[in-house]
This record gives sequence, C-alpha cells and structure tokens, in this order.
Amino acid sequence: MRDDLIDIGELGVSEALKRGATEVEAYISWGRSLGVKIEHGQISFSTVGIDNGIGIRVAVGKRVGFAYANSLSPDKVKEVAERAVSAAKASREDKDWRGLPEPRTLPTVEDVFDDRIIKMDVDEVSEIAKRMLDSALEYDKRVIPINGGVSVSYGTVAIVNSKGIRVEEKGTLIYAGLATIARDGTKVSPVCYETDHSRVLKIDPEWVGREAARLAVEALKTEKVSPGRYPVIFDQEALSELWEYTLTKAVQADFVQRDRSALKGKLGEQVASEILTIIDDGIRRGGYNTGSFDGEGVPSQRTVIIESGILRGYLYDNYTAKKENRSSTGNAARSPQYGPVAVDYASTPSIAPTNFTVIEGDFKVDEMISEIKEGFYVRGIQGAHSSNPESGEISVVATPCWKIERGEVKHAVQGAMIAGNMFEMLKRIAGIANNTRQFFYLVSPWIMVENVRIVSK
Amino acid sequence: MIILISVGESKDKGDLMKDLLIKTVEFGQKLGATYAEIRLQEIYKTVISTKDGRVEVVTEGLETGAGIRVLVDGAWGFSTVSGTSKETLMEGMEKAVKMARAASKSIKEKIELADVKAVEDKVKVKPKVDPRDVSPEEKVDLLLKLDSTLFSISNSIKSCTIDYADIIGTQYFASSDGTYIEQDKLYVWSRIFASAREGDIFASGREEFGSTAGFVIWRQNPPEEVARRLGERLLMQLKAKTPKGGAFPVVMGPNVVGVFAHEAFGHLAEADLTYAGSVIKDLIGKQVASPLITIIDDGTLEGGFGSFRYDDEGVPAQKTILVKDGVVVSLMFNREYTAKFQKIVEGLPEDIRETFEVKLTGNARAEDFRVPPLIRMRNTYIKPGDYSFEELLEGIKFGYYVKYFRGGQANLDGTFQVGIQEAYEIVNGEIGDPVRNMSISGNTLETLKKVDAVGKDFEVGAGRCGKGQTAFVGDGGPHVRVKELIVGGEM
Repeated sequence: MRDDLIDIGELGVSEALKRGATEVEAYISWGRSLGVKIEHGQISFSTVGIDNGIGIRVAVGKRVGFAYANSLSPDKVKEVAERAVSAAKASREDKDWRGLPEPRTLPTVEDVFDDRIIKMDVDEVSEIAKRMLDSALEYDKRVIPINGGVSVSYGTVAIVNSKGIRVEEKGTLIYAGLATIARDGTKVSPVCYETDHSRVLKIDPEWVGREAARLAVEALKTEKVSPGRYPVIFDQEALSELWEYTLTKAVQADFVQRDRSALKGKLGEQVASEILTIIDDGIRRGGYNTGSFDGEGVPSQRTVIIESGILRGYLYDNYTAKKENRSSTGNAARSPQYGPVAVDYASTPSIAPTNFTVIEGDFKVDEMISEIKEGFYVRGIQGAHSSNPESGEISVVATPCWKIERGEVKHAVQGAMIAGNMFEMLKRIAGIANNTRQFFYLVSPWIMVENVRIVSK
Repeated sequence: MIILISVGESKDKGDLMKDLLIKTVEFGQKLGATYAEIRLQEIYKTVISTKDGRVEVVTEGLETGAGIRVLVDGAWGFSTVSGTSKETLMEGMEKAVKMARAASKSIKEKIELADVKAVEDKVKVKPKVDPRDVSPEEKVDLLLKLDSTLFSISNSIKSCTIDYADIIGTQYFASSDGTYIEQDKLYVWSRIFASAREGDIFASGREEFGSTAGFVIWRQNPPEEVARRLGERLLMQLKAKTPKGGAFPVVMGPNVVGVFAHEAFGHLAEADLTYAGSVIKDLIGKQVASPLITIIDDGTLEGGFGSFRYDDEGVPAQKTILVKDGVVVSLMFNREYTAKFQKIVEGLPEDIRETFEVKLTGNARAEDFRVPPLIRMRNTYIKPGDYSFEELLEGIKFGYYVKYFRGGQANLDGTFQVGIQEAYEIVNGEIGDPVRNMSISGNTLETLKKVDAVGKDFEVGAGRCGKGQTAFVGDGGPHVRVKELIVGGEM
C-alpha cells in the first residue's frame, strides 16, 4: 500500500492552479489485484497486477477539462495538470457549472478493509478456487465448470480539491465466481452463474461451486410453455440485470433533469406496490460499494428512494445537486460501465447507485413458491441492456428460468421471453421474500411480481 | 534505465525497445518459462462528452504499461505493470513466472501452443485524416453541430448525449518464438444516445460508428446526417405501435444481421466457447444453417473497426470463413485453442477433417496491457446473396422488418435475444406501420436453418463487444429473411 497519495494530489492541485485553473480536483488511486482463473474444469492461469494513476479535473471559469495518466511520478503529475488545463481551454462554457464540492464531515464505515486479504498469496487464493471447483465437480458428472475464478484486490483512493477536500480511504475485496453448463448427450443447459463476494475475508467457495453446479443440472430438463400472464419470482441476479438499465437509471438526477426519466415529477406519488421500500445505502456495513466518500470526496449516505411504494428521492452527484440548490447524495462514481475507458482514475464522475437495497419482507422462499399455482422462477436475464431506459419497456429472454406448477419448481424453460414495462411491474409486486443477499450493487431478497407477460413459441 | 517519454520519431528508439523487450523475454526463459511474451503499449486518448448542447468535459489520457504472459509447466501466468523501465519490466516478468508456477501446481491438462512462424515487422498506420491534425475545438464543434441539428428537428426531442474518443498509440510485442512487432494503433469512435418524449410516451435511440481508417469516419457520417437519421427514428417511435407477441416471418436489416452474426452465432464459434460446450461443439464440419448462409470473421477488412495486422500473440490477422454454405468449416482460434482442436480433429471421421480446418486465425486480442488476450471477434458478417429488398418482402402476408438494433445477447445453449430500436410491420409484401419496444429471440441454429433468402446489399458497422474485456469490432451483412422468429410483445 502507498501512503503518499494525498501529497501527490496536492502537487496535482497546485500545479494546475499555477497553470491557470480556477478550480482543481485530483483523484489518485493505487490498487493491486491477484487472481486465479478456472477454465474448463481446471485452474490454469493466475494473474497479478498493480495499477495506479491520477485523474485531474479542472475548471477554467466555467469550462471543464480532465486529464489522466497511469503514473504517479511528479513529472507525470505535472504533465497531467498541464493537459487538464489545456483540455478545459478547448472546451466550452457550461452555464450550469457551479463549482466543485466543499468539504463535509465523513461517516464511519465498517468492514470494508481486512488485513488478511492483503496478506494472501497466490497459493492461498488458488486453494479457495480449488475448493470452489471441487465442490462443483463433485456435485454431478454432467457439470462442466467453463470459467470462473477467485480474486483478491485492495487499494487506496485519495481525493484532494481546491475547495479543501482531502480524503483518503483504503479498501479490500475478495471475489469468487463460477459459470457452469451441464451436458447430457446432446442436451446443453444454459450457462449458470453463481458468486460470493465480500469486503472482508468471509466467503463460502464450496457453496458457490455447489450452487453453480446445481443450477446447471436443474436447467437440463426443459419443456415448452404456453404464452400468457403469470406470477413470476425474480431472484437477485435477474433483478440486478433488469434494474441496472431501468429503475436505477430512472432515479438518477441527471436522467430526471434531462427529461429522460419516467419517474420525473413523481416525488410523493405512489410509483410501486406499497410493500416495496428501496434505500440506496452507501454506508452499508461491508457493502460491495461501501465507502465513507464517493468519487468526488462527498460523504456517502443512506438515501430513501421508495418508501412503501411512494417515490421519496433521487440520486445526485455534485453537479446535478448544485443545479437544484441541494446537497449531493454521494452517488458520484468513477468507473463508467460503457465508456471508452474503464479505470477509475481515467474517468470523470457519473451518477450510479451504491448498495441499492430492497427492504426484505417476511415471506419465506418456500412459501412464496408454494403459493404459486402456475408461474415462473427467473434467475437470469438475457438482453437486459436492450431495455428502453426512458420508458422502462423491456423485452428480454429469461434464462435460466424454471416453471412452477402447483407450488413446486417443475422443469426449466428455454427461450421464454418477458415483455412489458418495468415501472408497471413495480406496481404489481405481490411478495417480497426474506432471503436478502448482496449481488454486486443490489441488496435484495427474491421478489414476486404478478401478471407478467411471458412470450414463447 | 530507459525511460520512454514520448512516441517521438527518434531513430534509435525502436532498437532500444526491441533490445529491452527481448532481454525481458530472455529473462523469463531463464527463470523457467517455456514460453514468454511481452506486450508494451503507449496510448494517447482524447475523449469528449457532450450532453444537450453543453460540453461536459474534454479528456486527455496517457497510458504506458506492459502485459507479460508466460507458460511454466503447462500453466499460464500473467502480470501487468505501469511504466516501462527495465526494472519494472524485469520485476513484472519475475511475477508472471511466479504466477504461472503457482497455477501449474494444480494443472491436470497442460496447456500447449500451436507453432507459429516468427515474424519481425513494423506496422505504421496511414490514417485518412489523422485525428491529431484535428484540433479539440474542431471536434467539439462537430459534436455540438450534431446536437443542435438533432434538437432543431422537433420539440419532442429531450436529450442528446454524445461520446467521442480517439485512441492512438503504438504496441511493441516480443515473444520467445522470436517474434518482434511494432504496430501502430488508431481508433476513432463515437456514440450518440438520444431520447424523445410526448406526454407519457418515451422513445430512445442510439447511433454508433467507429473506424481504424482515421477521422475520415466523421466525413462519412456528417453530423447533420447522423442527427437526421436519429431524429427521424425517435419521432417514428413516438408514433409507433407495440408489436404482437409470437412467431412471425422477419426481415432483418444489415445492422441487425450484424449483431445476429456476432451475438447469436459468433460467440458460439469462438474456439474457447465452442470447446467449453457451445451448441456447435459436436457440429463442427457439419451443416448447421441454410445453404444460403456463409458467415465470415474478417480481421483484414479495410478500415473495419475490428481490423488489425497482427493479433496480440503476434499472429497475422486472417479472413476466416466460419460457415460456408451452411457448414461449419472453421472457428476463431488463438494459439492455445488451435493446439486443442488439432488434437480433437485427429479423432474425427475423414469427411469432417476434410471440411473443417484448424489453423491460426489471429483472433487473440487484449483490451489493453492490463489484461491477457482472449479469443475475440473482429469484423463478423454474413456474405451477401442475390435478393433485392423488394424480393425479400414479397410473399410475406404479415411479419416484421427489423432495421436497427438496441442491444443483443446470446447464451452457449444457442438462445439469443436482440432488442430492436427501429422496426416496421410488413403487410402483404410492403413496409407498414412503425413498431417500438420490440425484440426478437430464438434458437440460433434453428433460426439459421429458417433463413430462406439473403439480400444482395452489404453494410458493415462498428460496435464494441464485452467478454470480460471490451473489444472494438465490426459487424454487418446484407438484408436477410427468416421464415419465423419469436417477437416479444403484446399477446
């Protein structure tokens, strides 16, 4: 770990001010990752990498520029400062630019750093991968673990700006994931995936292997289904896919301000079933995206989005908040999912959920299934990224997906499509289970929606 | 210690680099690597983002680093480093060997590589209009021109987000097989997201284009024309009806055929995924599609967004026929999977060995020096046939014409989904009303068998593909008619 990131940031800020910037923000990160990969049922690859860099955002008046480099040497920092200023000068005035954020008191967050993760060597990481792989292979002979792996990563992020923000935080993460298929004669299951990830050293690799294998085996037996409207249970993986391109976008302040959100102007209105409450919890203990500050150095917080079905708030970064004379909710993220660059220091802030949390109900999963006469359990979604983020319209394939008949999961279904509108579906949520788990950005139990349109041949 | 400051034209820089990389590779061999490679990159990026007429930010990026990959006792090790000093590279090599040694402890089936011919080459790009010769101010002007044209089309248009990037750099590659390649890289890319709203009806659309030929791509796509195309599509969507759900005849436009060729079929024919158990695993050398279908993955297409001279294992890019007249005749390979399939085909019947060819195709690609190469597509397309557009529509009583896609995805079991942003009904052989929020899905092989006519036009576009890493790719083809596809919509 490096402990000089704040100093490097201060150098970046002063160098840019010297060159004519009126405001400067330096984002510095240093990270190391160690991974073991599984391919075709064996561990065949391990990787190690150190990445570090600085991204400097400057304003020259109301013109904004940004530059970055994957180096923290003083010479490079000066060059980045210089380039950021010249980029700003090539830009245009943004009349809504109202400055970088001011310093605020940061919350305390827990279980986001674990020394034991830092100390792990490649053999220890391999051992965890081996346990995961063996438990998948032992589950059933028809299972083929096609790819997956275990990785540990850790690093430090610091942000320094000319308004007085000086923040620094270290974090750790361990990830285990496995994708499998099952083959029986010429029959191939869809790819089934399971994962466990944690900010502290607490994962269950055997469970990941077993679950990934069980899903694939249970997806082998398929039967045709009739089209129609059915109750559907969505699990965390399916919800995270569907919401990534619809609900989470509609509650982002930039979408709202730019008239791209179906939830615009609906604060205080019923937008979902009254059993649905969603909180974006940036300070969740040990959460995947937990940190005491966001990508602009603004404190993380808990933001109520939907309370008993009523829309209560949106997610803001500094820019969109200042436009409405309010405070940022600490939702500025640094790694865009679809930009031409995918490294934190190489990206400017954009709004994203932190730990998007559905408050669980009291339904047990078994009870939820047993109450369904005829319906579906959907684990994965294919094509979620082709949803219409503005209208919430979706037209996707549910896979893997199982048919539920008379209260029991009967057989898998191949190629069933779900068509409809996510915002309408929110109103038809009829059951929320009590099996909460975190699946990357989403913290949620299973959710049952009534009257979902299933299209099939 | 050698520190590289710029990609300047100093004469001896190439020699210094060659010497440095070869020494690093030799060091890896000394440490026990049976194969070692180093891929060093210097990359410059200019990125511009605009939203609704305001320039959000102009970005300049500098990246220098190396990816080092080795085989020790039949297992892979990889390390990535920032910077290019001799100490950094040697340390990176030491770590890569350590990683491979750790992985080798549990290896059951040792990894082998197909033989390559050693290459020594320098590849210089000669862009049609170098993006470095276009000032950032001029680039900003173009984006804002597109934006203002779009908003001038209608008051219903509510948002326009434009991302522009040019990526320019040099890659230096050396391997223990005696290959040394210096290769320039140049990409110009843009994507536009726009939305429209009338009351409770929303419409959204996107355009994307990219090229390895230079900034000329903006001359081929004048901002006014792109804006008009997008604006008309949005207004059409506002008026469009939702589709009927069910199975219908469908005519796909080149843009949708491209994403179908890439997503629905292409991934199944990436040799690592075929090997993993994709539905064509047992069908190599066999008929999987209508005899009208020929599918090609072409790394040599001039200006194609997925084109390059050498892949990231130093193998020359090929034009690879994957499906010929409906028969799987090859796959997309890297060195590892060429070796694996050479063994597999040994055990196959004579007739299959005659039709199905295993050879290096040059499909190993890494997003950058931070990651090892994977098998990736390049420019993937369906070869044109001889039908005119009108002939394709003929005889369809009721069906759909799907013109532009929004996104697509496929699974190894052969199910695919393609979301559509612009579609029309086909009624009695003629284009009818526009349709919105639609997607098509089906089983890839069944769909390929149901193709009953292939158009004579041809178009290849640019896109990006995600497989854990992002790759710049091209895809396309002619118009294609399918007898029956599942359309997601109202029942």
